[in-house]
Amino acid sequence: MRNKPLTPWLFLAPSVLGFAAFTLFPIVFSLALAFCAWDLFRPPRWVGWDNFQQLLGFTVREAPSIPPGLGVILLAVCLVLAAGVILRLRGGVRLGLAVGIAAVAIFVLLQFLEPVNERFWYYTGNTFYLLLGLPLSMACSLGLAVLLNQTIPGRNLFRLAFFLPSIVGGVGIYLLWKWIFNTDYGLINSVISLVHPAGGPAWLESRAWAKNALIIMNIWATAGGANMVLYLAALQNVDPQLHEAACLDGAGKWHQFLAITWPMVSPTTAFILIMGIIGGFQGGFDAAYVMTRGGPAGATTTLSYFIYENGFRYFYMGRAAAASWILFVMVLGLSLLNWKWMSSRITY
Amino acid sequence: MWKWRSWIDGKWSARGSRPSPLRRGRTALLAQAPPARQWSAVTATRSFLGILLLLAVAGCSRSAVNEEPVTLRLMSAGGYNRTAEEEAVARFRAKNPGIQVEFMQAPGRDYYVKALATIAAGSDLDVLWMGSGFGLFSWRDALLPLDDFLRDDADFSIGLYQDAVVDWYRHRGVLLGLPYGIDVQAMVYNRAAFDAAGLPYPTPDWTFDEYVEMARRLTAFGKMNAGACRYGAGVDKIAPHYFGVSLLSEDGAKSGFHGKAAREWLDTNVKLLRGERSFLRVGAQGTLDRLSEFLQGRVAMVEAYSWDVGDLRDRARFPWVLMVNPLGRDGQRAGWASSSGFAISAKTKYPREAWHLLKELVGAEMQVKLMATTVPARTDLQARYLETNDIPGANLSAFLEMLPYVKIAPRIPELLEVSQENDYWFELALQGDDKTEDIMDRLEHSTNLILSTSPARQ
Amino acid sequence: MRTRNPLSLAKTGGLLLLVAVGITMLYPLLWMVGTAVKTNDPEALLREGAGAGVFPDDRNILRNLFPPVWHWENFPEVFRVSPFARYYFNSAVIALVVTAGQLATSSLAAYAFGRLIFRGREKIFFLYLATLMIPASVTLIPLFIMMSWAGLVDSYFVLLVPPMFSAYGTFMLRQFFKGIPDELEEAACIDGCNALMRFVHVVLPLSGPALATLGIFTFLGNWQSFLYPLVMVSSDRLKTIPLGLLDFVDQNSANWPLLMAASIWSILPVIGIFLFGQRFFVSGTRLGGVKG
Repeated sequence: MRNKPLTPWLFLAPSVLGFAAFTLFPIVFSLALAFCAWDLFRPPRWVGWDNFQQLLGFTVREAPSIPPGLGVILLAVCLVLAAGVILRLRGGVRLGLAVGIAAVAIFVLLQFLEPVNERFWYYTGNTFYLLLGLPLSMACSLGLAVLLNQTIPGRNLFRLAFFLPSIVGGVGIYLLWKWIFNTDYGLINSVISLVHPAGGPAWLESRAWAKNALIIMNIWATAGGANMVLYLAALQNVDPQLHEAACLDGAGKWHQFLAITWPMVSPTTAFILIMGIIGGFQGGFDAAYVMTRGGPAGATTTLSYFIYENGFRYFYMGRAAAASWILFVMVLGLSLLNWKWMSSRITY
Repeated sequence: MWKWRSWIDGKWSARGSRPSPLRRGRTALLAQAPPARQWSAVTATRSFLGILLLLAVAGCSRSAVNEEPVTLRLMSAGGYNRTAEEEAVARFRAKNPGIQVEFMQAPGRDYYVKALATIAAGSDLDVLWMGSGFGLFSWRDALLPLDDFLRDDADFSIGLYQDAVVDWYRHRGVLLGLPYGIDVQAMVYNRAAFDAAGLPYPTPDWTFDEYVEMARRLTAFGKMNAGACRYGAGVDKIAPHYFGVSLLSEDGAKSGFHGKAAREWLDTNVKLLRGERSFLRVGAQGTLDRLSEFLQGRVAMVEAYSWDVGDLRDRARFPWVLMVNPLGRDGQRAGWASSSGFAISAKTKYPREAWHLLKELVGAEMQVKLMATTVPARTDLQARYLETNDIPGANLSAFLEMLPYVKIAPRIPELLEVSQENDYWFELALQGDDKTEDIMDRLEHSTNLILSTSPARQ
Repeated sequence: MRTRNPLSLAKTGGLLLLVAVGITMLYPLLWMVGTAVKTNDPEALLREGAGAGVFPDDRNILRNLFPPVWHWENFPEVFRVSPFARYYFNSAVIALVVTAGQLATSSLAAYAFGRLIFRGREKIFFLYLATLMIPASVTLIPLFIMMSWAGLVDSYFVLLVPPMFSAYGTFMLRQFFKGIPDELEEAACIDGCNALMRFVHVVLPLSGPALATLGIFTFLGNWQSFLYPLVMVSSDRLKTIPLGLLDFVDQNSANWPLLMAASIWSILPVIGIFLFGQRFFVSGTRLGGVKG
């Protein structure tokens, strides 16, 4: 449709101006800040790659755990194998072997190098670990949607009950869950001690279980929420005749699910997955701030909490900006991977 | 409305002079399209203009502030002091009519961070409460020097204030704040619990090992007898000074955790808090805070601070007694102490007025009002501390008796980060997976790293 | 095969499972309500007995879910003890204004990206998309610094204006606008009219569900926004409800009954909006990129 050349820009003006001022410019500024050291009181100082080096860098170990000669030999073997794989093999085997060779090479390298800031890698690991809650939560959402899709009495009531946890957020809920996870008196350990006399794990006091507690809380909060509603909408698009036909052919319920339901909701799954990854990487802040303050010995510190702590508690603005860019690169990488992987698997 | 839209179009059409080209089309549209919600175009345009108007107002409200009368902004952590602060502000306003005072309250645990951020951002902040986080501000030149005001103002007699306490607010010789109170730490025990378990009361010359032994016996008794105190003692961590070590060296430039004594400290903590569980780790995930656990009768001995007196007096259902800290393994007595006071932000726009407000906030009336929560900083008022807080049998003089032994921690700018680092390694040790020697080494190493690479000192 | 008995075994099993899940979902909220009507006052606790406190010693959680005496006065007490009414006002203003602003700017931009032709359209839109993936942490620090230079930290401006511009809304609405057939617009403008008239009279009326869904999600998101106001705001008069709830939390303890009562206060509008907007939800979900 034709329009005067000026018109689109007038439509875009508010959005683009705000976008430029509050998104683009801060992003560029943040990139510049990542190469400086600044505590807001003294003038900023250019430090180049220092911030990144302090977060992601590696230094040579003083005492490698395997002899250097052996290490060199192993690395050479890896290189040769890699060359052979790239040049000769094809298909899925190639990918698997490449990953295996890369893993061995990294392992060997790590015997000689150690991270400058191993806690940063630990926090990165925390962030990834907490993402595990996403597929679990999606599975629960899908399951609930399938259950709710049938005609049962009080369906709307159930839907409301399931949706409530996702809209009630805030400090009160976090402290409530902190109490539920109490080692001695909390609800969960009380229930566990009914069947298992030794009691449950020391949830938020234990480094090993703190993140699991957060994942459980996250599933409670998101299983019945927007994702379930999206799945319900997608399920209602599925033609019941497909199910009937499959039934006539003798397919069991589970087989019907795999063959009919799952592919039909795959676009929704892809959408939820991507949004969940983007959101999940930034998440974990509220819970960490209110419930655990970073957890027993940093166990619940995610990258976003780390960034807040370094930027707004210790006023290491440069380091926090560098960490946020590392986070961004991770989000970007994982989203691209996810998109490539899912686009081959979505059926329309 | 029509003229505005037509201007975009480049042609003028008088209002209503010919039927809108849209009107015909709209009927056609409604005939074809599925029934949709009648979103009023007028509403949409109006709301858009409304947004623009709101933005303009919001932008203008900022500049309008400058035409208002002088407003001072006072930041504090609220809580106990709020009423006393409000009274001090009322006295100030009575003497200085025409000046408004606005309160800003920051969440307790992030108070220093919020105050720093406010000063850093250049937001209006004039007077702020100051405590153990003094180093965070003094090293960053965030506070206004007060020496000139002291010299010029004859009303204020600094000589009445205890010298040592005033010195705590000096940084490189410059006075950056004034105290109103001294916060001291002693021990408090539940006398009924000791009676029930048949144990002798703590005495002023008790040692650390006696303290641990009492805690063990009380915990064992509590396990056997329902209704008794479940734990003998509750701490966040057993203080390093019982072993003769401290978090930082005297000059605040290096970690104080080195050597055998430091390892002993960590080992004892792990054993008592995790291994034996004869000490309850209060305030950690899943427990209540130190004072609530004590007041609810679950823990028989906890550390008591001067600000707990009010709660102890009002909420305790059992007889309680204060006692000076036990002697450490090095034979010395020591304890935590800090001072409460106020300071003026370096970026204040009204230094004179802020100084007058500051004087009220640290003056005699304020100290008298807060006598129940802190030992006054004025030597002439300290004598009244015991008679004002007359609680028979509570041995409140324990706080005064601790005064000669307290050593204030060095005021460093990396306070938050170093304590966080300390907490990290401490909690890691409590998990029990690593050897305490390794942990102490790495704690010392990383603390030194933080202190040497900190930008605030350069 | 099709079952004639509506309550077959599988269905009963499914129903039981749903009930169990429902109880699990609701239990924490019930606990919240139960705690909100308890009291911390030691005198009252003595009168009412062992189970009336927030954390009774015995391990039976179910018995002590609700106290023997319901202290309804906790609800007005919340407003007496802290400036909660102010927090309510701030949260409401921010959520409403930001939602309205986002709807306005996003719909205009989405229309331009979706239906108007101009040079560089795809490039600029790609830029928008790319920033979708940028975590909020990246822009938070520079935004704080920028606002402090402008002297706007701790003001309504910083709470209202930057959140108004979101690429997410533009992205969602563009998908939707692209789905509107061209013929509708052409039919409405037989005599030729400018883009603004087409937008206001044709596209907007059809976008009711999409705008409503986006509006509801934006409202909810801003009502619960925590990190952004935490960083930008220091004074009491600008705090929002999520920050205001921290008033009831001390260093290591919390005033549980009042905290839970305040939490319930903060949830009520959210539930109201959800109930009101429910009918838009299911129909509006079709625009959520289901087709990719």
